[in-house]
Amino acid sequence: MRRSNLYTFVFITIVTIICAGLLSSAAYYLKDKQQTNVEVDMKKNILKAVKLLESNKISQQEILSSYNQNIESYAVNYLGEIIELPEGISVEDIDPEKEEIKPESERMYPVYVKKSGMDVDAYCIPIIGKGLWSTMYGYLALESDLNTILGITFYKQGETPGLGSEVESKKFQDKFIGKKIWDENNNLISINILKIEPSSDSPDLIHEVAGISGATKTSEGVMNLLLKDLNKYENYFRRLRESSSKKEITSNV
Amino acid sequence: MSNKKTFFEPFVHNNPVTVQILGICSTLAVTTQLKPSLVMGIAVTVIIVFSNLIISLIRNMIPKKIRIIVEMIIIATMVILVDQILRAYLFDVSKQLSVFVGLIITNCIVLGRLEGFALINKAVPSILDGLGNGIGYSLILVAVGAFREIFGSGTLLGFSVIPQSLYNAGYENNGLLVLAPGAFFLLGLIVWFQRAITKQYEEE
Repeated sequence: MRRSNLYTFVFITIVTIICAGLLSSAAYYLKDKQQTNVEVDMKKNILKAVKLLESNKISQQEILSSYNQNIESYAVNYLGEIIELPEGISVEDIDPEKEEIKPESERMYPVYVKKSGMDVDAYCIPIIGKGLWSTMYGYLALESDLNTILGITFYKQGETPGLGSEVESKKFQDKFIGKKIWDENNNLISINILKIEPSSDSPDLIHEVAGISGATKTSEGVMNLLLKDLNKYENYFRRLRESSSKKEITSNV
Repeated sequence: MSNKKTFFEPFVHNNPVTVQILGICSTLAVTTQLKPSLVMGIAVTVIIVFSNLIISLIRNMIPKKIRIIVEMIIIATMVILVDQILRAYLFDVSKQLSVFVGLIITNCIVLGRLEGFALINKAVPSILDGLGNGIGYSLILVAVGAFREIFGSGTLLGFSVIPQSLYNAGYENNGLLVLAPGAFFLLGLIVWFQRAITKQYEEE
């Protein structure tokens, strides 16, 4: 049956409007729930990086309350000074990816610290960078010496399933624990990811981790993003390390 | 064609993957492990069933000239809807499937069923056809996914299944199976195996 052009236009317009309406209402009604999921996921991953979360099977409420109890957050600038955030924005709202587009002097770098009493136990920073196919998102937690890695997590990535996606596996992430990011001369050297298992007599063993076999580009991506993001915080970490080493000297005297 | 035949034929004799050779891209891409294969199978099944149903209900209203556009709009809407719902209620699964959910839009099986079946059939057979094809697709995905995970990574659904003693005796995981070419060989073998049994060949 041949139809008039007008019918065709009217038909496709109606179909489009119905579909668009359906999608926008779904997006509208599901938005809160999706945002809560994203927020909880973020907090969960910070808790995971600082080793406050052992099992994955805890409720959203437990995650939020554990986060509120243990984690404090603030932001620093590229000089390493703690800055005040514009009104209405919390540290958790800072999107590190968007900060990278801004001029360096305007960027805000979030820092999450785990406190027990007055002392800081761990520092946690977001890490973001390109792998082979996708941008990988994660957190890196350092012990209070700002040198030893306490934990690393990746929570969002679109790398090759079974190969690059292993960055999300515990097996890969556990390899980073205990590694150091500064050398003896106080240079920030981050972590080198090798194609092979680092030899046990390597002089740089404390800075080396074996990559994922079959995922060289993803492993290189992890190495690059660690260096890039640690560099952002270098000034802040230097300040902290200098002030804490001064404290040590005075307390020794 | 009877409803029963509509439902069961895509399992083996008219399997969308091994006989029609459709949806190969996702069969190679998501099957490195069993879990994403399973979820992908379920997602595709749901999408075929609902798009089949909708297209079948409006089949007499669709102008011939723009039917492919209409079909694509329906498929895209369904896929985005499933993606949104997964993100709200099954956040972890949606994270794991990441881009693959969106790529269901380009899965030829979905468009193939709409063009080949739903456009000319009533609603109930269309639902059955969608279900049958979805299950037929999932069967192959699950078979390939399970085989690749066991022999490629030595695990199944994330749990180790190859005993350590075997590794000590010199056994190694087959790295080829983790890569896409491994899946391609495997799929070829499945097609061969199936045709050897069913004696169903394309050439005379």
